[in-house]
Amino acid sequence: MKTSILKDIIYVIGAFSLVWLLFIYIDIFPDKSSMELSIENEEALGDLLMESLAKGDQNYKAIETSLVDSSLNILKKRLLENIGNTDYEYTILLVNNPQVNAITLPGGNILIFKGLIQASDSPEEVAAVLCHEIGHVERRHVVSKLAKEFGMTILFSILTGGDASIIIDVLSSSLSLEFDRQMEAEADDFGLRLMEKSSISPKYFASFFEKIRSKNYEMIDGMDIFSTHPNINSRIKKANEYKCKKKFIDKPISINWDNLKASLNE
Amino acid sequence: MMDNVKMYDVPQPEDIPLREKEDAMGAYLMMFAALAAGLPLPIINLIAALIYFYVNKNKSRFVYFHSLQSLYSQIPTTVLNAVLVFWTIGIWFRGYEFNDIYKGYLIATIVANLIYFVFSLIAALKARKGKMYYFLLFGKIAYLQVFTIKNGGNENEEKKVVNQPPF
Repeated sequence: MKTSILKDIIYVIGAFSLVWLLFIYIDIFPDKSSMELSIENEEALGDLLMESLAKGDQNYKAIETSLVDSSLNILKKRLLENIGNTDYEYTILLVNNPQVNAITLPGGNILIFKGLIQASDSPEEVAAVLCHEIGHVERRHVVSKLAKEFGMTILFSILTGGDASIIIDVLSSSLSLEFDRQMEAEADDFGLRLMEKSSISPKYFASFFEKIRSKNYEMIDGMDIFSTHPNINSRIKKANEYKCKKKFIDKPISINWDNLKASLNE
Repeated sequence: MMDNVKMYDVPQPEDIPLREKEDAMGAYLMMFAALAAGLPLPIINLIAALIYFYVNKNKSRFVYFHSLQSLYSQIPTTVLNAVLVFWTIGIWFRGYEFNDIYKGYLIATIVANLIYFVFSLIAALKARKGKMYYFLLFGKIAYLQVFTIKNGGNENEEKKVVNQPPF
């Protein structure tokens, strides 16, 4: 009698757990839009957008002094060495724009704004923002957002030599892309893990966000990383509460940050 | 199977008055209404279920059994739904991660509710016909609780003498 009831308990709990596990692994809400554009196509699209960007707006003109290049390379090297397998070839540019912001374009192209460097006190803080942006790239948020906005046909038409005005449309839309809450959370999670793997304390993420919030920098539309999400406090909290492995050591990034900032002011 | 434990006989359809059959059916159908009303706050339907159970449990063993089975079988879905509600609130307002574990739980809970729904409907129809219907696990527990003979098996002991003749 008791064994029969015990068996039933095991059946009920087992069946529920099985269904739960099953649906953890079966993606019931597949994001088809981002699945359809291959990484190669995404990179080709990214290249086209970057080309168009370089020709156009002065606000997005890249600063390419040797100091900037070497600093960005150090940052990039530290993060990409620890990212593990990635399908993307990252391009990280510093653009001459006073806003405190960073933007992710398709194909692993990340733009850091001059204002972001100036608002930060250390390379680790900018690395935190970069990790978050890399999270958007790796999770393919940019393409899936663009695909939703424009539809795959238009994105493909660009790749096959479509209208230049469409490229400009897609570009300007990419520059003011707003991710939804889930995407921000995914990018945060990815970013915090990448920081840990790269021996950068996730505390920098929290401290930089707090600084930005307290200084009340002018918030503009489409400002991704610091967008005024109602859950910004919980994002800071999550970063503060992030538990690194025991053997984690916070290794400083060796960039002379004051020099870099001074050079940008010239 | 039932060593040392004496059980009451399971009632047969022809012995059960229509009123009791309807009360037994109501035990399942009433839970649906309670479940629907309780969706935003899953504790409400459990309270309603408890009230229905206490009102009906003394009517007859047949009604007692079905009310109890319905109440027990509702506990897991209520707990699952409650967890789902708080988890969802957490995602919306407190920035919990919307991940595959949540999605899996969501689907599993929907499946559990559907199974509960279907089997309760079957049980309601069976009860209306005066038939016993045993759910996995909950049927057995309810049966043991309702039909086990206590006090050494003397059925008459259960009847308390309340009404006395005048002489």
